[in-house]
Amino acid sequence: MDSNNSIVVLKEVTKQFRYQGSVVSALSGVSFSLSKGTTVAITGMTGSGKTTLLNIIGALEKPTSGEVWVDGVPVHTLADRKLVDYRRSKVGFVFQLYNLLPGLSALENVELPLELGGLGAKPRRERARRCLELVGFPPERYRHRSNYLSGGEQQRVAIARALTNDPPIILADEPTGDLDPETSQQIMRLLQGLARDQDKTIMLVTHSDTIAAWADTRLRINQGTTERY
Amino acid sequence: MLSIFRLAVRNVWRSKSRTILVVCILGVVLGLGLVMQGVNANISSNVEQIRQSLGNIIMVQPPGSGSGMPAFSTGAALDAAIIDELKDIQHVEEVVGRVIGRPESTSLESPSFGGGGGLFSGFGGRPAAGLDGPLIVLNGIATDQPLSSPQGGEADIIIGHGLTSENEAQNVALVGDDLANQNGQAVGSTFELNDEQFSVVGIFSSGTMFDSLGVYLHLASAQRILGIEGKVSTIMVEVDSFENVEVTIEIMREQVGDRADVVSPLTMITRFIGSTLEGISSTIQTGASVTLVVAGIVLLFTMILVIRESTREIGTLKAIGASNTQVLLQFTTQALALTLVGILAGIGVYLFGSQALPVLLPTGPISRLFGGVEVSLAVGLGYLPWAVLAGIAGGLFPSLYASRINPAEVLRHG
Repeated sequence: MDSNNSIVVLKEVTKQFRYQGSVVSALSGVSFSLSKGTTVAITGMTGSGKTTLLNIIGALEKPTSGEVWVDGVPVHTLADRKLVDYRRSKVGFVFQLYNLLPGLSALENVELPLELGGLGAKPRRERARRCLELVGFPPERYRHRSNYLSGGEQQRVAIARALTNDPPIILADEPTGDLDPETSQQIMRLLQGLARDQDKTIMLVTHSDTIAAWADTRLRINQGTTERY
Repeated sequence: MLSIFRLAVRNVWRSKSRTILVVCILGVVLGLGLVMQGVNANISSNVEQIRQSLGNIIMVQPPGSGSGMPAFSTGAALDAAIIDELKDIQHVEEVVGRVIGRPESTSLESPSFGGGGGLFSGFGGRPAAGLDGPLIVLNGIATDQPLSSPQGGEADIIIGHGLTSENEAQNVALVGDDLANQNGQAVGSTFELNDEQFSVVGIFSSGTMFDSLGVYLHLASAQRILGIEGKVSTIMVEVDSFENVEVTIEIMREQVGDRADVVSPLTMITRFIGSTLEGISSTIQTGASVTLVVAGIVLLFTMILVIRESTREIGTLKAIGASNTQVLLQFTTQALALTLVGILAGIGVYLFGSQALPVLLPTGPISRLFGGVEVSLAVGLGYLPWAVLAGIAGGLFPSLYASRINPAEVLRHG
């Protein structure tokens, strides 16, 4: 990694899919670096490769070629077992449809990543509570099943879940895509606050220019490559 | 791992109607398997009981007596010395000689069956006495032997005590309850046999008419009364196991030559019944195994359905740090939880079936052989671990598939 203060560095990253015998190129030589504690909006048309880019940084997908460095870790070289450790410690995911587990309470959903990492019950619960406090989730709803929460509440729980392992990067795929404008503003304020106060790097995918305007850096994906604007 | 397990258990109840349906199917299938195991255990127990009680007894009869049923045998009595000769043969566990016959005269009155016929003729090697005289069966048995009819039925002393070594030298007798009632006999009463006086030391009940009209004496007393000192009417030989009966019969035949007939009429019957029951038992066992396969298939399809509905959830779990093993564990636990609930339902069906089956089948000996359902821990332990394994096996393949799901793929397409 060459940039001293960069938390994310991508070098000539390509991603190709095979579809019905032909090769489809989602990313063709993406290169950029991001500083710690910044908010980055990734925009582009549907199918332009925004989510693929996020998945590659989050180690849910492997690049076809190129290098991906996150917090000093060469993600592109990691074996499958190491990828699990990487996802637990370096990144937190926030999804458009929240993806909370409906069988668990808000608190249990936030505890889950810690539990998967093997943390004991007491510290796990304490940290989950702290994260829920941080995102402004009302304590009287900690024990409520996630499917009984409103969209905004579910997204706050999802953000708290992404924060529990204290990762340096939060990857948010259209985090406001399913929310009304007012709740969207609240969520964006929350994410911005996390970047500013917690020194988190927030990468969010959005179709909305209004949401993108909240970001410190904006990247548009076009024809498989990125450009700042 | 608490949430993973809790999640697995909660997922079982996420679709209540489906879970109830699956548990009902598993309950019926596994319950049926348990009932089959219970029937099988009952049959096995019956076969063993038949073999134990009948199959390993060899009878030695006077030559030409033929039928093998000592009470109705004809011909001369056997030399009692044969008993000692037979004791030394390999596999022989016990040799007991007994005397059966009718006294020429007695002070006891017995019911008359009218004239004609030869049912009781020839006991003890004596000429047929017809049925005009007293119909009293006189049994001479060795000291401390349990009371048993010549046909194998058992008798219990209901008042007084048995024929023991303490009263061996005395003229004492055990009298059947019907005979005692008819003659006002009680413990301490006396009666005459061939002009000898005997004291009653006990009253027995056997539940059969012939025995209830009988008298048991010490072997030596009976031999003296019937005039066959040093001889016995029949010898019963008990072999150590059913499997050794045939070889022992051959050795015994060589030993006794033409001095006696060695027969085991019950062995062939027992072998036939045993092999028939074993065939049925084997079929039932196959049926029980099929229920396990069916339970496994039910779990397999249920888990495929569950996993198809949970792909986004699996993707999320992996995105937040679940390993393949943890996903595998979660869905295997879910399959196991379903199996355990199914097993509980199956135990209910089993307990109900164990009560219902004997009622549903017509009463009779066949029903007693096949209709009984053994309810025991052994039946459960012989079947349920396999049911758990079938459940795990059924859930394992879908769970392995779930653990290998590409999270990016399912999060993108759901």
